[in-house]
Amino acid sequence: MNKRCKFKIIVSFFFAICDSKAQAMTFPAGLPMNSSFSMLEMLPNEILVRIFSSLGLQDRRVVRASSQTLKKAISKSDLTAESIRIEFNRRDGDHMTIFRSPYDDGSLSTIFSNPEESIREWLGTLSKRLFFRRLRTGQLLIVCNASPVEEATMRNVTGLLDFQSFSLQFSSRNQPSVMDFVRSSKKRIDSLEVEYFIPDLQEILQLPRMSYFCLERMSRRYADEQVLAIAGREHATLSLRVNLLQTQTLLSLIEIVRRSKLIQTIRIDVPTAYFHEFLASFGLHEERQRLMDVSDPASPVFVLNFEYSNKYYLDMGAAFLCTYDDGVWRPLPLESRRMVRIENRRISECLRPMHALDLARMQGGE
Amino acid sequence: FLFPIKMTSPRMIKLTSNDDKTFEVERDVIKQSVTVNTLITDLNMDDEDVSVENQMAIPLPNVDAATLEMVITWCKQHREDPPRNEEEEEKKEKRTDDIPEWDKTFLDVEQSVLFALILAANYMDIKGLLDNCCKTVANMIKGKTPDEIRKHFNIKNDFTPEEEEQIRKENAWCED
Repeated sequence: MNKRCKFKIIVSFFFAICDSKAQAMTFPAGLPMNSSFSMLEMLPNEILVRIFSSLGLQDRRVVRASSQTLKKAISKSDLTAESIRIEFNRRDGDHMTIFRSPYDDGSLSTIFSNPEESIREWLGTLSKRLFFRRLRTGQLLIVCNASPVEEATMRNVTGLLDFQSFSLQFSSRNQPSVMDFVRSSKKRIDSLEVEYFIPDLQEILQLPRMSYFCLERMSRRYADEQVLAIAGREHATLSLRVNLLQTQTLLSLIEIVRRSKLIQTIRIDVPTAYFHEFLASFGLHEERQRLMDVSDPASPVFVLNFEYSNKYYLDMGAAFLCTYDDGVWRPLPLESRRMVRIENRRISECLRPMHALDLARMQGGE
Repeated sequence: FLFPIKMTSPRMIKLTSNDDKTFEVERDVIKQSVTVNTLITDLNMDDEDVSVENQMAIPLPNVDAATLEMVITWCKQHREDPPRNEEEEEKKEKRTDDIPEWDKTFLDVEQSVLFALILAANYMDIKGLLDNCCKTVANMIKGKTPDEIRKHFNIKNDFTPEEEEQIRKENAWCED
């Protein structure tokens, strides 16, 4: 095949892919305006979404009222989200921009440095940009970082936004007023995430309304004993990020989780120094198969986070998710993997075929 | 020792529109099209020492000559622009009042031309041009009533009276 021929084949193949991706089309130039179709309505949906996403609330309403096609397109471009993330953070400067969350979870974010002054202004901005109707079904996530947040501010936020439930995430070591709010809140607190030790944590844990609790990045001093105490109480759905735990604690925790009928999730940030022991505790064969038995819906879900893992840990994760069949390591069928979710984009890397050497190394670790 | 200095002219790339008109454009200019740039890289065209006369033209089967000429003009004007950080662009609040003056004038064209440019920019993956075209259309929508929008964009009102009433109700929750 000569070079010209090769060039033509590659170019045609390339543009065939581009065509299917871009849904490209052409308009006849100089189309008269009394033609029977509207060029605007004929644009691919992704372009309409791009156009409408820069319109304000009033103009969006007008577009919705113009035609069925545009109404559908503008609905797709609504700046709505499953959740809104409000971050109180003294260190991040004073800005009020609403932006797509960097957490890649589809939520909208904002950061306040001075919540008392700017909360109402921000809510005003929000109401002009968003369709509240859609947000009522969503979740509000309030992240309390360095800045102390007053109970009044919390009431302002939760009172003015009509959310069914909300989550709180604390990383400050002392948030007494917010804890008052948590105790007295009539809103359903869907989840509570706590970093570090909080003095009245034990009391907070007794709250009956809470359905999710996440304890993460606790200082080493408190982590082991508290984690076991919390896990042993079995009163709430528990999500634990156990990257700092000691081996024995991790193994005890796994036993608690196994026996529990209430604890639904355990998140494991990999690499944890003890991940191979965690894997070994399940064994590579019978135990693991039992863990992944889909017939028991009450079994806990193990969420493995490989975001920061190197190849070694990815391969170990892959081993965990593979089965040895007819002399070949294969990924477990999807339906068998319900019990283990991989919580990031590296799942495909994780499930690539295992290398024999890594397997041997891992089995040797057992 | 003295070496002869070779004066190199800018590397040129040939593009052919769907109506068989061929354009020669500087490699440095057309790099703004992700589609064309990827193709050039994939075909190792940058490594080949072929004169522009003997070079094979890249066909653009979804772009006509008039539109391609405009696209090239835009790319020439913006050749010095810093590379876009798409992640940053995505995070920014969307505005329509930040179209550069040159682009405003350049995009002050008939609707059919503007929409053809949008499709070409989308097809050739030129984000800057696509953004400014979309903002121009958004500016045409701003401040108009539903009837004015229909008239301006030749849109047929395909709502039944019941559907129109429903829309009115749906919009009522966000009354100022």
